[in-house]
Amino acid sequence: MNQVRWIIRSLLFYKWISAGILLSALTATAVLTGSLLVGDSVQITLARQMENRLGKVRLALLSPHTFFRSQLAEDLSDCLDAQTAGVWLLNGRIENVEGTQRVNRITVLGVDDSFALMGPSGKAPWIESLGEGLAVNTELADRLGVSAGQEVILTLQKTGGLSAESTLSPLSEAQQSFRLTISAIVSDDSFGSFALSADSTGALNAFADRRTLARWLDQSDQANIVLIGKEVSPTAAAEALRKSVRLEDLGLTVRAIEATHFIEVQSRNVFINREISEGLLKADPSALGVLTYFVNEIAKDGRRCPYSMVSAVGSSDPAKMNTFTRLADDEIILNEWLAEDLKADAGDTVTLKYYIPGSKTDRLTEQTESFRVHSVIPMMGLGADSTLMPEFPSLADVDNCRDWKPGIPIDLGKIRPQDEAYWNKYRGAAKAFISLPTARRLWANRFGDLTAVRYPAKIGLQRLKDTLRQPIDPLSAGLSFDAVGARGQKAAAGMTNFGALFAGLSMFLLGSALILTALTFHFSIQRQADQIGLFKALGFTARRICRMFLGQGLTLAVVGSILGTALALLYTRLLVWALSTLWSGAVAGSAVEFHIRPFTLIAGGVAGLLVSLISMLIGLRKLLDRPAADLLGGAVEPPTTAKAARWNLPISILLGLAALSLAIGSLAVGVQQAASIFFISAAFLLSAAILLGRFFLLRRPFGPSGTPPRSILYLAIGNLSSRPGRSLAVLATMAAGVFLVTAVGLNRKSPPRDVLVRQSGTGGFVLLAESGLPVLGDLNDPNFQAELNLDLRQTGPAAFVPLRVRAGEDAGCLNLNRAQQPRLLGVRTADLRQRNSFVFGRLLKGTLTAAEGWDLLDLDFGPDIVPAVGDIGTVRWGLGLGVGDTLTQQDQFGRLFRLKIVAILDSSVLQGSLLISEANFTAHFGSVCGYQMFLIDGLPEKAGKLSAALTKALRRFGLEAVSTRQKLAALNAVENTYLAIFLVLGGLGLLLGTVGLGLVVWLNILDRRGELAMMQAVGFDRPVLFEMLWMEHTILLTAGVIAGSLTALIAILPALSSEVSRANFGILLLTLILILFSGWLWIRLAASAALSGTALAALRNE
Amino acid sequence: MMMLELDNITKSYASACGRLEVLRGISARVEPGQSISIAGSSGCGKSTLLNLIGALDKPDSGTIRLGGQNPAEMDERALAAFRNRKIGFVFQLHHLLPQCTVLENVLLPTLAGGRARESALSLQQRAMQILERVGLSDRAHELPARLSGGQRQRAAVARALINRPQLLLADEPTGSLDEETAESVMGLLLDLNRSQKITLIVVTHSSRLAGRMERRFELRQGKLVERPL
Repeated sequence: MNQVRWIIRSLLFYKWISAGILLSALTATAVLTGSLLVGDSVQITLARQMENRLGKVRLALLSPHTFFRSQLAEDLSDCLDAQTAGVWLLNGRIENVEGTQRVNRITVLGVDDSFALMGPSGKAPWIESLGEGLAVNTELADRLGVSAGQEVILTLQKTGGLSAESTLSPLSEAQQSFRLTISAIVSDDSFGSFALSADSTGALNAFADRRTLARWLDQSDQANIVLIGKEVSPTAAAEALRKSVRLEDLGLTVRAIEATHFIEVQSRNVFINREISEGLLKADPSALGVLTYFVNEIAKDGRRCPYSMVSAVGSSDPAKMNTFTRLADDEIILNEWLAEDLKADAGDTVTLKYYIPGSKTDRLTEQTESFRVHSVIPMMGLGADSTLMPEFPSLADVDNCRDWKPGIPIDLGKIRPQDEAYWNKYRGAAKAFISLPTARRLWANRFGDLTAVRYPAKIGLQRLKDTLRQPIDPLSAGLSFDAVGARGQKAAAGMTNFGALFAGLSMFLLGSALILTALTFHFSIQRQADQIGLFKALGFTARRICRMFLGQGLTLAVVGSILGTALALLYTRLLVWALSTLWSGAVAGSAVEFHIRPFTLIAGGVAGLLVSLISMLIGLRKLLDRPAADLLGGAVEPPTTAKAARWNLPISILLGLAALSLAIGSLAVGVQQAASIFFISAAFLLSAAILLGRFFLLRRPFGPSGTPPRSILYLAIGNLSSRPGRSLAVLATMAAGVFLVTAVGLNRKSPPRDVLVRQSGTGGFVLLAESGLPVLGDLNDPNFQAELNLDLRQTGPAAFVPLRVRAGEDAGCLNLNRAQQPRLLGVRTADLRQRNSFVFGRLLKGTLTAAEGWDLLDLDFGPDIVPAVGDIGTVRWGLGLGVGDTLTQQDQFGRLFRLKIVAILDSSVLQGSLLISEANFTAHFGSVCGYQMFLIDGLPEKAGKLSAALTKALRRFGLEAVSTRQKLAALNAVENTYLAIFLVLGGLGLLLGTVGLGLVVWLNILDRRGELAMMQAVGFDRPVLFEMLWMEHTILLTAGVIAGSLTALIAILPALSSEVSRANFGILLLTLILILFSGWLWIRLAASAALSGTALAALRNE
Repeated sequence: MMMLELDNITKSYASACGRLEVLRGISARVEPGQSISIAGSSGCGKSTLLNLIGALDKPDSGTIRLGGQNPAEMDERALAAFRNRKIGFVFQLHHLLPQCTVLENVLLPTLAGGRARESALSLQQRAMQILERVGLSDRAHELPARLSGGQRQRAAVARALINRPQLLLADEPTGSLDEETAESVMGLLLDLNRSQKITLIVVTHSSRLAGRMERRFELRQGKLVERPL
């Protein structure tokens, strides 16, 4: 005889109960491991998506506001010894030729063979067949419903040159459209899903040949992105860029102007941004800064000269000062032609009228400024220098000034013959000069503060080019590196832990399996309780006994875990299938594939084994603590007395009163808080119900001092008190299980009934619109509305809150990746403050009150810290941040700055993005032009008409408007799907729990076989005994289910008052019916199995 | 040295009607090799006293010494070893492991003792000798379910003897047996007492069986009273 033999003998002797333990441990392991494997599947799916999305690309050189030579890619390749590809990356929209299908936000890529080499397979044969056509990826082809050979209309946002948003930029030049033939549909493994952002929703890509695309855009062999297929340190990348970059890669052109003996540097963007202009001026002491602007009128004493160029020339070197550079702030020099035209001379006062330069989206404002004439210069040199005029689009490039079509309004009627003659002879030669500081004060804007920098010709063109490379750091002049590989890996790795999430959602299933394991094991050792007593009496230590009995459990748990691990594969497959079909809302429609990691499989099996063992140990410890004499005498439960129950009744009443007070108190607070309070008060009520149950069970309704039983029902109720611990466990477990599953599963989120409520997730807006291409104008401006043919007479009044958009990753629950570069929205804080829109959940401490929440965006936290606000789904769940936390980001020049979370909104339509003030937005992303998102006020009953009118009028911008209610419902769908999953898995857990109930019934009856045999002996027949047993346990089951359901309904009262899905109610009712049915079935089975022996045998055993 | 010394032992239990004092200052001395009977009405505390003597339970007050040692002063491990080596138990219900054979049941106490010095073979031989002694050698490999009540009880006696205890405690060992079988089991116990000088303490209702012991005690109202033979 040894321990192993004893274990084997015991397991075989108690084979049915051993099988029960094994099945329970198996189920627990399968559920736990399966949940963890779901996490693996999602994680590996995301990693695969990232591989398909980025291929071999690890680093990208970005140039958001200009483009560079495609040769730069090859130069970088040589410097870094890495594979590179120069690519065009533009925003666009696409539609079929019939105009029936349209996709508003797509990425258009200009690629060549080098792009194919960067793909996951290194092959992309479709590139060779691009020709003059367009290839689209599978996702886009499906959305558009097109196939190879069909024609489409592609519209691109204009790139390069003066920002489309600049006041001077003509609206007509913002977009270009092309009719193209689809040459191929590109699959994901052929690099069709290429994207720099880590979004789990598929990219919508259209591909054209890079050179062909450049030709369509009237550009030469250019690109605006270099993809680098190697992990490179930031220092090495910066060094390689400095070696490779040329001035033209920064959008600068250098030319010698022989007539003026100057070498001039200009920008393709017209205005030279401050970062570059400072470098250019520092490059040589003789550098002259030039700022030329288009003014509406120069006048003196009623004489007016319309539409002229006015320049400023300045130097920082005192030694180089001349008449122009020495001008006082209020002085002006006129050329001879203008002086003659205005009849002006030195000392006279002239006025300049001009539009304040800035954004098209701002209201156009004309400003007047007065100057004192310093002198008049002859029509030679600077006085007739047409090269001072930069390449203002549709202005500098036309032959006749009557053909001018700049972005600002031009009254051609004002143009006189002499003006035309001046244009024909001197083109855009400046008619007047003011000081550079004054010009910068008047006309510097977010696009730049100079239009040219001039150097003396004697420096020499090549020498100057070499000199200029030093002071201008390309990484602070518009080019920036983005470590897309590391970012993508971080995004995929930092995603929501689906393993833990599904373990949580399967909590009840797992809990039930573990309780069942503990129960069956407890049941097993209770059957052997006298053996424990015997072992104790024979001198076995408690530790030794524990080892022996745990040995039984361990054997079963090991076998159960091994089999459970195998079953986990099936459970995972089932969950992955459900995530792709029934519960696709939980993963925002992403296609999750089945994957396993051996480590997880082993870890899950071991974890299942451990939790099973722990649950067994808990049951065993209780018995080991009992005295040997008691165990030998069959007393396995410690005695309980009615005294122990005396406090239950008053505590139960107190809890009930507290629940009532909380529920009444919650009427005074908002819906959100009311939901939490109702949940707490319902939990109080449930505890009160359980304590009340304990009170009655321990009170023993009959006995030595009670009344004798009068009926079978009375007897059944009385019997519940014979094992109060077990009875209470059944009641409490069923009640708590039903309560939690019901209260959590039904507490769905739903949009407010009234979308106009400002303090809600809709912000009081009826529509949320997004455009594929930026809208360059103020939609609230009737003139712009007229320009767009936007007719709002049928739709009722509408007001727009425009938002600037820095494209980035969706940081909400619709993206499975953890966003590293969230989408940023620039908002005019006053727009939201005036409306008091959205609900602030948490604010930065020590700042402002909730009512002034939007003011937080305007706070100054010092340089490089930008206050940001996001909703809870974005900040807490999407980014894993809290109030006061910061997130480091790159601005358009690649400079790092930190977003500081100053407030968290409750769930809102803004989920997925962070909001910053428009001022901070333009300061950091000045090259991002126009608005691409709009919150729209209107009449809810006319929201459909308004949406249709906007979609029609802003079709060329690819605008789509959805109702905020619809948007909020879509965002809530993710969370609601999780609740539905919890309800289904929780319901399954409860069903499994009813098997445990059956076991308890069986155990109770077996323990009472002597008593039942005695009853049979004195004349009770088996049907009566069966009825008694069925009744007493059905009372427990039904009481538990009713207590749990009623308290749960109280918990979800606030949700019921808004909206609860009928589908979920259906699932709940079905679950409750199944629980009752399954419970009754197990009770009947257990009772009939336990009563199957003869009374004689039982009595003999007794 | 006395085999057993009881010095002013008290024991009480909590009940619905308050504390129930079962043993009220019990004192007694038992010499090695003596046979003792303890009689008394049902519920008077006989089994409680036997559990205290067998170190399965602890007294509220007073001292128990077994072979000069006080079990109350031992830690759990030492107490378990003490019970295993010095005391043999025979219960009214035999408490044989249903999953093990008679021989395995007899050998069960050796599993607790960690008898490294004794080979499995010698233990098995000893067990067979004891089974021979109790008349069950031919049923050694049967499961308890196939034995009669008397055979089961004899197997339980054999199990109690396997570690050569100095004290054999029997709690109504014949309570569930017919008269003839009871006589046979009792004869076996007394035979062992005399031949092996094992101190025997038997709790019994039967005055006839009690009469066969060297000393007779009666437990009445919590006090232990020795009756003359």
